[in-house]
Amino acid sequence: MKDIKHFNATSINDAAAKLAEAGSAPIAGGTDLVTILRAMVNPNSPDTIVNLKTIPDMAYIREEGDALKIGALATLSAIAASSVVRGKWAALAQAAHKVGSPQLRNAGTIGGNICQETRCWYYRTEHNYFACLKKNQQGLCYALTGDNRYHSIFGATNGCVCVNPSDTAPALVAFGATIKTNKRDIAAADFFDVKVAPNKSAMTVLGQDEIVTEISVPAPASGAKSAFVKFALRRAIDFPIVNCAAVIGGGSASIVLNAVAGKPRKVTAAEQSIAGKTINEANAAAAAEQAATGTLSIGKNKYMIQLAKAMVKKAILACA
Amino acid sequence: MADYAVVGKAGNKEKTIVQKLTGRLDYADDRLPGQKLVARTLLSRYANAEVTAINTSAAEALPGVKAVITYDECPMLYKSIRRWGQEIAAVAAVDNETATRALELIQVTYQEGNQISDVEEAMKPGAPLTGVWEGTNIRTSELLRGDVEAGFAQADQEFTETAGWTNFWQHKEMEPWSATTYWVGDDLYVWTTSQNPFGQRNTIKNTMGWPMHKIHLISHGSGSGHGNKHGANWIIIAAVLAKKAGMPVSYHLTRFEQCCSSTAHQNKGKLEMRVGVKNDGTITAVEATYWADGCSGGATTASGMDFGFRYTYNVPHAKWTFYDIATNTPLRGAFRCVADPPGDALYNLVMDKVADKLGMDPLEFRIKNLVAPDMLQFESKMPFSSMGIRQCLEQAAAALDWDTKWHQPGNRTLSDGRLHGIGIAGHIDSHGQMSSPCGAILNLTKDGKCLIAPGQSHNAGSINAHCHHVAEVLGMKYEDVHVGDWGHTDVTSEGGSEGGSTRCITLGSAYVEAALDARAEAFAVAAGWMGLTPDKLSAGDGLIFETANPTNSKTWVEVAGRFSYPIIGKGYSWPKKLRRQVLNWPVGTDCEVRGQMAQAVEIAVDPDTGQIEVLNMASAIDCGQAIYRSGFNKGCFGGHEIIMGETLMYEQVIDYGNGASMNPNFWQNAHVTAMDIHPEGFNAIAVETDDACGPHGCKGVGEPEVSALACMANAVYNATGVWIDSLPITPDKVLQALGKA
Repeated sequence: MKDIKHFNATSINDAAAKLAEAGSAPIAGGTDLVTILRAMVNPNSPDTIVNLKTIPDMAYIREEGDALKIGALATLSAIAASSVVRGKWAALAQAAHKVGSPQLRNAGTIGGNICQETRCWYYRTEHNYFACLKKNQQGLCYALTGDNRYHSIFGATNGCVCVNPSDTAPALVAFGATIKTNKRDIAAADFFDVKVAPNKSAMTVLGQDEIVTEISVPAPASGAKSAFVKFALRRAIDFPIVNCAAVIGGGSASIVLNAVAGKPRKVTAAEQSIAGKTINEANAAAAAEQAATGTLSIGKNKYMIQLAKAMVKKAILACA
Repeated sequence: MADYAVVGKAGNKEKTIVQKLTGRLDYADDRLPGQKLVARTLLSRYANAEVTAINTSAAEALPGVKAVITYDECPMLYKSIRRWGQEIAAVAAVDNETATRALELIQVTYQEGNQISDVEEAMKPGAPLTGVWEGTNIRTSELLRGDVEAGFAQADQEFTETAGWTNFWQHKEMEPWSATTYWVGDDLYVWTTSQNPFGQRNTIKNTMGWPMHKIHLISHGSGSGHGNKHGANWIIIAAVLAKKAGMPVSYHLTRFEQCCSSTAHQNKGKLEMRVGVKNDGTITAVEATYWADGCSGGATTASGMDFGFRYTYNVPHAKWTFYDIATNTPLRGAFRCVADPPGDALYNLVMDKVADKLGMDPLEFRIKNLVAPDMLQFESKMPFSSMGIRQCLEQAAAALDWDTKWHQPGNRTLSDGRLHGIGIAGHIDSHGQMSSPCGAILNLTKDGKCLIAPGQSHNAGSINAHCHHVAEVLGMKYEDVHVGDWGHTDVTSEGGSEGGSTRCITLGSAYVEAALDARAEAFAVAAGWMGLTPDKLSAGDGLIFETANPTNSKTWVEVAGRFSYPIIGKGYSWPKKLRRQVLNWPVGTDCEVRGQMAQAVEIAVDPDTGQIEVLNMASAIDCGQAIYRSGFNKGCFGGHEIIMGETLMYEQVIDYGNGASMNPNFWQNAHVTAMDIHPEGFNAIAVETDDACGPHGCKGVGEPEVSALACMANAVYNATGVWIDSLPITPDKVLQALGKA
């Protein structure tokens, strides 16, 4: 790990100006970035870390009109515990609660959770052992031919089969949230993007000096219910093998899987199948079957297709 | 069974619990804070290669770097590379960051060879050589018993069943290998994590040629071992660096290093067994072939995988063939033995498969074929000092209400839609016996207390067991027996290896002798004061009293006050012989002392996700006599936690394309948590058979639970009707077995 300068930002503009300099990267809770730096995952690790946590008034959680407004620095534990979030936006509170462990949730922020990098074990191997496509344009996607038991069931994105591991991201996409940055408003469904150019390991569309400032989540339709479910090897701490958020009611359904592709995956066929119908075992099972539409096994990950169906079914039933 | 005053009593507390809970138990890395250099090692990026050139000049020139060593200076660093992550060079620097940066400056030129990390590829005819052994990837051996074909001729039916592969994984001890070393002239001082301080001193002497009496090794706290802390690799690297730097050096492995470098791993195993049986379920003969991934260390231990079967079942005719296959994977080593866990899992699976083919209850099939207490072991021709395997099976089964809950495979669904399964397995283990000779010393202080000084680290509960042995013999209260220093090669006696479940029985016997030695001196003092001869005295409950008139007594405090000097007791461990007659075998007969165990587990399998939930588990262990009862319970539960993890998720994934370890960390290769193993559903049962060799009738129990590997797989079959005989049993395999993936 090389020497890294630490810069405490006092404002968004202050942070953005520093981030505009080459070789700088933002940090909030640090639960993802620090592990990447310590393991020397990426050969182009930053020279300067810009601390966002010193920016005041960015950790709020409040209901404004019909929308939930969350400051990007709100911790996952605060979101999980918030009575506001747990009311109309239950799936988001459940998702925040399912992230990591209590210690990680106390440190980790919602902004960081949606900006975290992939857990692909080829990308993450210490000391940049696998100079994969995400780090080297002439590189390979090692997972494509290697051990891909935790990789995309919806094909490659620009040749890369890594998955987005965020728990909160599918909930935000399902609610139709907007990610506000210092430069623009981005629909959550458009926020995630697998970049595979050298030194562009990020999983979002954010620019170099672009910072998530707020997440705005519209209220679901009257009478709608939401739920988040997660499958992992262990019942605590683990990253998802497959997770799913659903918002169902008022004649519509929004169902989003994650950890199954490079970005959260809206399962439109399943949504259409369950929308407007009574939520029961048979209808949920029928909709869940639709979740397999467009899936593609690449070797060892075929079981994830079944898990995706199981998570969709479970999420739908939890909205009853 | 004897009625003991201290031994086996509930409520006796762990002696160093306060140090542990307050963080004051000192570990190797706690020593010399702020005064020591930090060591890091350069690990190979190839799994099979020769280092043709190495240039360390840039690393040596980096400010803060105090020493750089390579394979030219340290035998624990390597030029011929046979595994990804093998150590090539080491650096000592003022801090971790500087040492890590220095590693990046070391230039290494490799000549790459053919790496084969997939055991099935390595064992194929004509496979390229892995370079571990000269001219071959496979070594083989055989063992014969009786007349195999005559045995099969007696059978009504024959079945050939397979099981495997079992999983490859690293121990993942909470404390990785760790040592702090420094030199004073020619004297080397070492603080280290350990399962065998004296053995490590011996290894350092043999490897480096440094005089034994100049090596001062101390191991106090050790964050678990399970078989991975008998060596001295990390100590030697730190010591060589310290000598070169002229400063203390600490080498505390990172989790990445702990998974990838020269630490031990549980290896993969596979079994094919031809079984001849009569229609009533009696086994007449077996012909078994075991395969073991020998990994890159060249150890040949496949022949140990049959041990439990040979000792557990009454099969007069058998042939075993063993294949060890060398691969370019991290080292194979002891994890609750090198060979037992995969071996016990495999044949216990095959036993269930055969029972299933016969249409028999697997518990009934096992019990029908058990060895009997009046039998000599087939190969050694020795009697057993105690035999509780049948009680273990019966009590584990009863605890889970086996007779009610066992059902035909795949035909019981719980109300929530999950599939119910129950499984059982059991065996006589190779461990728990009286092992190599060792010694014990203790002090009776003038304030009426006893201090023991065991020559072992603080890995397990056996130190507390020694206190029970000593208190029982001295007639002291448990709380008056204390642990003085321990694990210090200068001041404690050689305590032997804390492996193989042997300390409670072996070092325990030495402590019984040491207590008898000290008691004799104390009785002499008491007898002189009381006007009696020592042979008229007894001791108990903190008193020394006249045997014929217990009211004529003195307290230990009173008697100790009359010591003209502190009394030192010393003793040596007992030979592995019967100390009382068993059936027709007289005292003094060479005997088999073996831990015995059975586990039963009840599970629910989610057919949609393949997730397995352990509902209840019972573990019945023939321990002879539970000495430190809460230690017995904790040891069983610790074993339960590990085996549940090994069965359901532990796996160090190797990329067969280059031999790299894909998950050398805690986030993709993690410990199970309390949420996964349901502590409230675990039931530890002490089966007490009063062993005829062990002190106070005990045997070792440090390696219980390994039968649980198979009992889980057997339960999954009972739930689903489909065999999953490779470990770990992860959701992908369950879903595949159910035709959903």
